[in-house]
Amino acid sequence: MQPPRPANGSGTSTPVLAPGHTFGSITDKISSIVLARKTTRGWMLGLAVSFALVMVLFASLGYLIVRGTGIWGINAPVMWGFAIVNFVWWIGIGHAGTLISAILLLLKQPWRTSINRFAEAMTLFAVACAGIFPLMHMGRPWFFYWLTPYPNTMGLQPQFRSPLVWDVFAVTTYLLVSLMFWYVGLIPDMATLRDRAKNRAAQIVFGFLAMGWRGSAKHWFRYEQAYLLLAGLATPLVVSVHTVVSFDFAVAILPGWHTTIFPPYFVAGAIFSGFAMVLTLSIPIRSIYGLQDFITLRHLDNMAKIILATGMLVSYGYAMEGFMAWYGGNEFEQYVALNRLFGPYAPVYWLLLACNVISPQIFWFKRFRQSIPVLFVVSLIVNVGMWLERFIIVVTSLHRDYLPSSWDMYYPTFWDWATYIGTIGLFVCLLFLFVRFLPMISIFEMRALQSEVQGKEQTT
Amino acid sequence: MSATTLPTAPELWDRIQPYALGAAAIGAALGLLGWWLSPDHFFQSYLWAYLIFLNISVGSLTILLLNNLTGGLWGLAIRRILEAMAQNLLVMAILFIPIALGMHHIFPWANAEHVAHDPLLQKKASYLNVSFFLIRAAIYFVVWNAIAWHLRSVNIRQERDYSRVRDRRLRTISGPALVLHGGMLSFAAIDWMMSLEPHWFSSIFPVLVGVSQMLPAMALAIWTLTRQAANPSFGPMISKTLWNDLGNLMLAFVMLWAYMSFSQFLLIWSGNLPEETIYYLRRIEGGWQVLAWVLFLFYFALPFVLLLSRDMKRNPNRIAAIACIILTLHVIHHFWLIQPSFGAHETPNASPAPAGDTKGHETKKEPQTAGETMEDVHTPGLRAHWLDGALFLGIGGIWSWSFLRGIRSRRMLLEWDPAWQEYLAHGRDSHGH
Repeated sequence: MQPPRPANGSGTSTPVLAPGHTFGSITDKISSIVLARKTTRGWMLGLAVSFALVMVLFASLGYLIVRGTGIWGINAPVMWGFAIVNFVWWIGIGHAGTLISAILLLLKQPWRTSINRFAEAMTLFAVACAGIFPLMHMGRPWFFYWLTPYPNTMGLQPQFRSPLVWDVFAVTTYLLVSLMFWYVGLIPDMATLRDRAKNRAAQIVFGFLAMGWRGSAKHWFRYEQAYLLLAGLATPLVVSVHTVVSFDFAVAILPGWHTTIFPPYFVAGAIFSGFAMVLTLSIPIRSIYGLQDFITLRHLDNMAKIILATGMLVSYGYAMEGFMAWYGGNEFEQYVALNRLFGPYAPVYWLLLACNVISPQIFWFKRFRQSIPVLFVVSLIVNVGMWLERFIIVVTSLHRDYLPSSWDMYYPTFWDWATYIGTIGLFVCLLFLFVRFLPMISIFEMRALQSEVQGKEQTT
Repeated sequence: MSATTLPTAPELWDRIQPYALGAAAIGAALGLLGWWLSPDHFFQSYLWAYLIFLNISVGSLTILLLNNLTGGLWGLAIRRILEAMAQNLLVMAILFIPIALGMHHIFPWANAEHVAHDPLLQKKASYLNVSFFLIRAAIYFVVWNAIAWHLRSVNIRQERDYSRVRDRRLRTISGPALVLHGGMLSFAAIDWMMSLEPHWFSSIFPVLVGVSQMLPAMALAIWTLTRQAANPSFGPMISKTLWNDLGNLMLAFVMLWAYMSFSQFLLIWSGNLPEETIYYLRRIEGGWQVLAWVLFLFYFALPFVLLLSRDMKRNPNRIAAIACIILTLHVIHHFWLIQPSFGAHETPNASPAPAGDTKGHETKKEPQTAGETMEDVHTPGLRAHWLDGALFLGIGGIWSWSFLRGIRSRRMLLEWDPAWQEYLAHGRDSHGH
């Protein structure tokens, strides 16, 4: 193995693992969160609040199934309101997990180790939230299987030229591969928990999940191969899923949607929002569970850099979209650009520019990349900004297209908001359960990292 | 440090450099003849040949800046080579003068007569006009050369006396420089490539050009490194892992190129709007479709499959062969991108569009509906002019001569760089996996 050069090129920066840790202390620290730590009142309260929001989600979805999508604000011409905005937002958030776990693994970036596990969990939960929306938006969700090609008496096949059908395949594949990647990564840690658990029930459950892992050399050999293979499989998914999502818009010839920059610009936006979400989650988690040694300032600094880089790419997308609207000379495209800047949704557009273009610029300065409050606030701003971006893309193009007689406004209803907030509740609730019952940092990878760091100290 | 122990670039460079000069001389002589015989063809071929080499230089600058930002040992091995390519931007600035002189032979919007009959071009005239175009070109070259010169001067100083502070400052400045460079290369792509068909537009096009610049720059750097590694005093220093990393980067660029190209094609095909499809109609008919297939098979499929294999990447001779394929296809890619634009306004309204469908899809062409704002759909068949070859030799000769001078004039090793020392100490012997 070639010694990984520090990611930012200088050997003197903050380490990826605080000094002084041994195999034992790492295992103790991470596994005790699951096995030994008492369930705190704060955790119970957080779970209760988020669970209440899950109930809000169920109530909204139940009412939706009873009454139909008319309870939402969608109507001609804006048929794609909150449902699609939220779908794209949640799917985008998931991308950071896959990027961290697959691409950074292949690029041999050691700093991924402590954040990959919960970033992967975040991916799964975000995809679960995302999936709800297009399903419910169909109006008759019980016919969802019509989207799959299967021989049927109606002689119907899905329209394979439609990216909406590609989405079904892309998102399902994404969910399955992410789930496998996450679970395979967990297996050795499950065995650690099985061996350390004092309680019979925990021993049985973790033992079942560990699938008979004994840690033999043969196990590790196969394991490493499988993990690399899965990383290779997951890598194209980082790009393909959001590319297909961008096709949902860009293959239409609607002004504002039909622009060729959409695929790379959507992928950059997805990574942008995903890393913002990882920051939003990792900052409270590391302070609540005292994991500052494992998720160091170096991690936060690197994530801030990625947010800055992808933020610049997203800004480039906005700029190129605007320039081409003018340069192309198509008056409908030009009108969409003007309508975004000065039309009825202009405040949303300006707010989105402030959130996504201006706020990440603060990360040019190391002082702010290492300031916890700044990182946390900017990560929240970026999350909001990326949601606004999807709102602008979905709504402004639809509400005023070629035919002024069919122009109309879109306003979300109570049920739109309730469903959206409900999915946030589901996401947070699942995360609460995850940090309580599973090791949120990969124990065996941290041990490997520790030996690598130590090995380096000895040779130099 | 004594220079005698250092491996110098192989004598191969000494041997090719006179040939480069000879090619430049022959190309220049034939070019002058062509200018006199057929100025239209001269300037069009000139732009094509010019962009082939300019884009390699611009791509090398992008890779250098990216490497400064992200680190990575692969950059240490090819930095000198990339710097030599980026240094050529000064030569390219001088070679831009004929394009400035012959604009009206190349760009329809620079032709007042043409614009007078074209309301759409009149609308775009505030951007597409001669003086603003020249001002923008001057800005691009000033910025590019400033960045290239700065990178070079910092490295010369580092070579003399290494300082970590300077290293960090270089990294700090590379971020803003990359942002600026991205803007420059995007608008240069719009000005010099997209505006050849001034009605057509595609917002991914500048990004696609940016990737098409990095891919051949990487391929040429890898090829040059393999020649240097043939020298026994230098070769063993490049570990198999390093070759592997370089091959992976080339693979990444191949995939990015395919991704961008396919995205643009799919969205335009699917949207099927005449103002956009005209670009591809010119490129998938009249013989041009052969080049499109060649690009798909040999610029994407073949290098993609070959570069997936670790044995290919770790063997310098094999990776050199892949790099040669990519460089050849880079030339064809530019031919396919640029040359079909020229016939389009050469013979306006000469013949109705051929009636055939495109590959059996329902892409109906309706030359009449577009009216006076659309360019004629007439596709000139695939053809080459003798001036294409002459100017490729001429500009290629000058570029290569200057490039070889660049890599010969500096030491190829960065033995003063602590990262390289660390690599020599720890990384070289163990080839991993």
